[in-house]
Amino acid sequence: MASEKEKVFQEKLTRYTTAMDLGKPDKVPIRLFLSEFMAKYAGFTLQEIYYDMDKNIAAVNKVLADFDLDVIFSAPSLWWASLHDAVGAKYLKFAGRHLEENRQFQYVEGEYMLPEDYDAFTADPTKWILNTYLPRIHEEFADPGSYRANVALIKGAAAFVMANGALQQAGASWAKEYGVPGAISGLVKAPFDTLGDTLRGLKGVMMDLRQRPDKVLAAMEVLVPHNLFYGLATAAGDTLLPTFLPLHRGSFPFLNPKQWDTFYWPTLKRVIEGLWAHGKRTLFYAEGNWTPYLEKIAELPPKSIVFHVDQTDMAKAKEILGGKFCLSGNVPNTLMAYGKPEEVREYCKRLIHEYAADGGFIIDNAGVMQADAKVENVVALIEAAREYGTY
Amino acid sequence: MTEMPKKEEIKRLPPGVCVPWEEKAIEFGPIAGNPEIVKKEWEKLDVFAYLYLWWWVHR
Repeated sequence: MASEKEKVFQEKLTRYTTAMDLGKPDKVPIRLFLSEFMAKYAGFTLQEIYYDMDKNIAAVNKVLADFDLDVIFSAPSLWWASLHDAVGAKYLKFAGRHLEENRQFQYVEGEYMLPEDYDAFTADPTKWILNTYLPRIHEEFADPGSYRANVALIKGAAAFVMANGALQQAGASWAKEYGVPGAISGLVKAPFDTLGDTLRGLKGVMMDLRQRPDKVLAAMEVLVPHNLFYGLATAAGDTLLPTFLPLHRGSFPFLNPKQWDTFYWPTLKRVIEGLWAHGKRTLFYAEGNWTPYLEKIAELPPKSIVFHVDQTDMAKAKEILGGKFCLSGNVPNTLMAYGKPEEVREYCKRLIHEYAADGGFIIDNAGVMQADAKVENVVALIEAAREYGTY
Repeated sequence: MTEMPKKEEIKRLPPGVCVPWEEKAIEFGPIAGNPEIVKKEWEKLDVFAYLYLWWWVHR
């Protein structure tokens, strides 16, 4: 006989998957990407959750005990700072070491891949990452083959296993102890974002569109199967939950329409279609404004994505994508940080009234929540979702 | 015994691969027992190495 927690787990999971399949569940699912907010709520500094995996996980335990969430994204810190220290990773700065103990981590963007690296990258990206990229971004690996470099490789790989293992165990515990399923399994990137985020950076990739467009296209062509593989492999065979696709440089107006059509969309579309061919849905986490691209996005196979609304026009998204894809969003982060609980309630009431009536809708914040969100506003969001979001 | 391709046939590393089994099988030479067991476990760890490398790119 199933325990009470198992029943709750199944109810929440069914609620979530029914919405993603465009159905009308018993209630509008609540999926909040609470991130660093969880640290503050649980009484931990950001340094503590970045550096101490136990506290990173304990913060989630506290939130799940106190809040009625249907699914949980992950622990507040996506990355274990000590792993980054072990290899001397240059591109992230963490609270407590580089930054004040309650400062959000910072990504130091740069051209970690140089223009002259394109040919080597395209010829064999995996070898290029190990031979060129890691020595460039990891201070401890600057002299490959040296004692320090070898130790850094051992420690980095070991920490990678330790962190992932701890999070997997935590996920099992959240299901068993709190009856809350995960919101996602796996991570995938748009090929253009792979290039424009950690490799060439925004400035670099924007210059490349003018100066070496053929090399950009060739690199992205090589990235398609790698990104597809990464999305599937990091999901470890799961096809029930969507893989997380955080979208960056495709947001309007980074690219003009011709650039978007040429450089951003074709390879991203192939990755999403490739995942769907394996039965794997994508959480299209459209950070920023994607309104001009909704017609193109509508070309994707029905149900292959959950389209997350941040600053995209929700009415347009509903008009163009509704009935084809589940929509999620979009209680503004500014409202969560600076608004009053009554305003959050009103926003949620309107959101559910206008966009959730037909099913196929998940309530969430617009963007990843930070420590500036007010506790009373999170409470208001959840209470309003339950009050107005029962079918 | 495993069928061993010639070294010159090995090209760009495909997704999920750091050191292809086909390349390693040549270096191993004849495998006394069941080569599939050795291959399966080799590839499992090879995927792990691959994911570790690409993890630093996919942020």
